[in-house]
Amino acid sequence: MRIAIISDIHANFPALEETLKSIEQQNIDAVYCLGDLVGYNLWPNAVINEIRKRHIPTLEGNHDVKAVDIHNMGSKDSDSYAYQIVGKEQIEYLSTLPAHIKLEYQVINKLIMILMVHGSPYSNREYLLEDKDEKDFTDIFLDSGADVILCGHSHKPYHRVMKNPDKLGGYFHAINVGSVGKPKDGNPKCCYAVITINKDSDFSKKESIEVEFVRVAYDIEKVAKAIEDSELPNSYAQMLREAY
Amino acid sequence: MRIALFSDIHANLPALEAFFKDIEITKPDAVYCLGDLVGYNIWPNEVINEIRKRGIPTIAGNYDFGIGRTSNDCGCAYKTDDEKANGAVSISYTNSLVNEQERQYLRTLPAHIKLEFQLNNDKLNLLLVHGSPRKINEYLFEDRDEKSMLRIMENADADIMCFGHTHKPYHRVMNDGKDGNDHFRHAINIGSVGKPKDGDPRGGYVMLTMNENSSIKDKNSISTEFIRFEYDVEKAAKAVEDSPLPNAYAESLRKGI
Repeated sequence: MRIAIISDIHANFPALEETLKSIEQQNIDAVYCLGDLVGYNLWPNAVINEIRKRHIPTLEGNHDVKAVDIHNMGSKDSDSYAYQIVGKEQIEYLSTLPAHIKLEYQVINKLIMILMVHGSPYSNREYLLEDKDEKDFTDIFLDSGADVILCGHSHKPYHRVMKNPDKLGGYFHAINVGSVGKPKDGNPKCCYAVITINKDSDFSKKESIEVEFVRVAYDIEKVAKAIEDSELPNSYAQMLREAY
Repeated sequence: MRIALFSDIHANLPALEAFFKDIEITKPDAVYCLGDLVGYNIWPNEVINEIRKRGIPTIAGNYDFGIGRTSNDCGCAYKTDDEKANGAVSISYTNSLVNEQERQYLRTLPAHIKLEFQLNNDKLNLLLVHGSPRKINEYLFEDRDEKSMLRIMENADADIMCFGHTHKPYHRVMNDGKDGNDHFRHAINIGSVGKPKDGDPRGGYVMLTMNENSSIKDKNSISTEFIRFEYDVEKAAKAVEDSPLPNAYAESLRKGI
């Protein structure tokens, strides 16, 4: 089973298009999206429509919540322009996205849980960063019952394996899938993750799941120029060029 | 948010193709498959590959669990000797048809998918299982004792539970509230795409609609539509008759039994 996980598209439709083309080449069995479809760019409606057309199961990110709130308040502030351009039908879609998706696998005599969140299991605004204290991190796994946590939000991809401190043993996998439309790890190419679960995946070994980060080129200059020619701040264009 | 849920295709490719055509018209926002892709007809690999190609999140059914492990037990509750004999032909024939890569796909399907919504500052959990949360091959029929059904849902922390396996669709709403506070739980059997057993031979699936006001406190805030679609039943029935499979399975398709 090969699962592709995308996240943090942030209204960057050209980046999403290239990412979906790449996924089609990867022999993928299922695709999930961890949220933040909107904000920072010009094509929120095209992004939402594409995700809906392809029926991709999607979580609610903090920027998706922000778009709904801005519409409910009727804000016309210039600094919320990126959210004002989201259409009514698209806002309705964003307003009913789930916070988490859990996949439960029956492995021999136990259930293994893959937990998908936008930020953390507690909040779509909390960052689970790679250098988080190990005890704090494993406590989150124990508390949520997850064996694998897939998250986005920070736009900085990593795969960290930690020993389950519980006496039953095994390993926890924390995977940040990176960002399709606004990477912040110095590499401006789109990022998504492919996780592979094979028939022997029993999570008592470190190698139970394979994680691969795929980087995809797209026409960054075209998107950056479009931002500079719009009401959005020019700094957003520079962020895409330099991936910070 | 409109979510299409389908299951129990049972290697019936003409029915699956008609389902995909139908959702091009009904345009759901998300699509999930609740298992039993294989068994009882001649197209197990084709059905698996059509679902994989579309990246549809899918859970394992009892038949998938058996074939994924090259087992001769599909976990089906056959009652008569004839049913048992026919079932043995079906699982052995399916095992002979399914290719290695497709078998690996069945073997690595998850058992459950849970969507946790947080609407109106309240939680609302949608649990997808094949049979029941406890067992992949447990039958949850419509006439099940309400207490038993509520206990199963409470133990699984499910406010809405969707499942297949019986091939008989229904939507049952129960109030599990305590101390005067309503807590509506929804048990939804989504029917079968490729082998209906409710007397209607057309394929069936469910469209679940949730909105920003959906809540455990309002029983009408979650709606289901049972959609039926025509497909070439005769083609699927003839395929059975032209194969080593028992002819009884062709009759089941023609009559929806």
